[in-house]
Amino acid sequence: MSFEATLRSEKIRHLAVAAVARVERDASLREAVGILRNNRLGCVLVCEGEQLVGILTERDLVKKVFVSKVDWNAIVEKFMTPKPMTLSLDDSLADTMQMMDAGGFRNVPVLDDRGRLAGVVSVRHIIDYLAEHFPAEVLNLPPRLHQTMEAPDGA
Amino acid sequence: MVICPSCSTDNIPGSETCEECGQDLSGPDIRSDCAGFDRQLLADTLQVLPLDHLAALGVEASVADAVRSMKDLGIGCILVFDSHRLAGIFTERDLVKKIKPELEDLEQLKLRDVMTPDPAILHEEDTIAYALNRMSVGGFRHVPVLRANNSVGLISIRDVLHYIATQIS
Repeated sequence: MSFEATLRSEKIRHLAVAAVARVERDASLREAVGILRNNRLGCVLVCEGEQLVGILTERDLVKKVFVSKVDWNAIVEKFMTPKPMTLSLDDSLADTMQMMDAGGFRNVPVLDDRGRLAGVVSVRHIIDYLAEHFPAEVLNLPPRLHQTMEAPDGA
Repeated sequence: MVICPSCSTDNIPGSETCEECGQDLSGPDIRSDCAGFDRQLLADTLQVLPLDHLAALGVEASVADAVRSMKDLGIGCILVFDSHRLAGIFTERDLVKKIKPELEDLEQLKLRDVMTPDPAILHEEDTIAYALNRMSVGGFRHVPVLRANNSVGLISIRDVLHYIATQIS
């Protein structure tokens, strides 16, 4: 099977989808940013009970938080991206890549069969998957295809 | 013994398809089935990517300057130069991880003190497959790219994703 066909058949459920960090919509900005900072995460999901209502990403922080003086006690809802697009566990990697590319998303929440949050898939997972599963010959190539030795090797 | 060109499994001589991955082993040109995308990824170099979508600041510039550039240009990484030498990069990740805007004055904070110094770099003649592997192993989202004319470009994980997403559509 070609690599392209693999990407079409492989599902999100085959990736190790990252655990989700979530906060309630009335959590403070301070609390949400603290979670991003301390857990090396690129996003935190904002929920109302079990319902996903938004996502707060590093990008949101650059655009809305770091550019001006903000009230750190304000609720996270004011800074999040509301109603993010989601994927399901049975969407293919090819679909995922095309959605991320078209929307400019780096992190996409994933819902399970019953519509509950299952995790977050990030562009990092996709790149790691590609690097790991791409035919082994990739890893053995010199970085530049026509690279030659400048001087004869060896004694 | 017949080695599958796609997954390298040993097959019984005379097999028409690979028992492991179903690759057609019967045709005279057995590589053609997996040639398109795989071969492209191995042949294309970083020169096919938009290396110029970047912002550069000096080491004395402030974090506030960097944030404004990131926001205005819609990018997540600033190249930081010390005179004409690439001294480091400053990324969204650095911003969130190292800076506490509730405690610090971003106008006073200099990039010299918070950038990631001496970042890994790639060469514009490196293949995309190689860059992909470096980004995965190093955990990099942005990598400066040294060009033949000695200028510095930048690739992001998004550029690589866009390239691959376009190839498979």
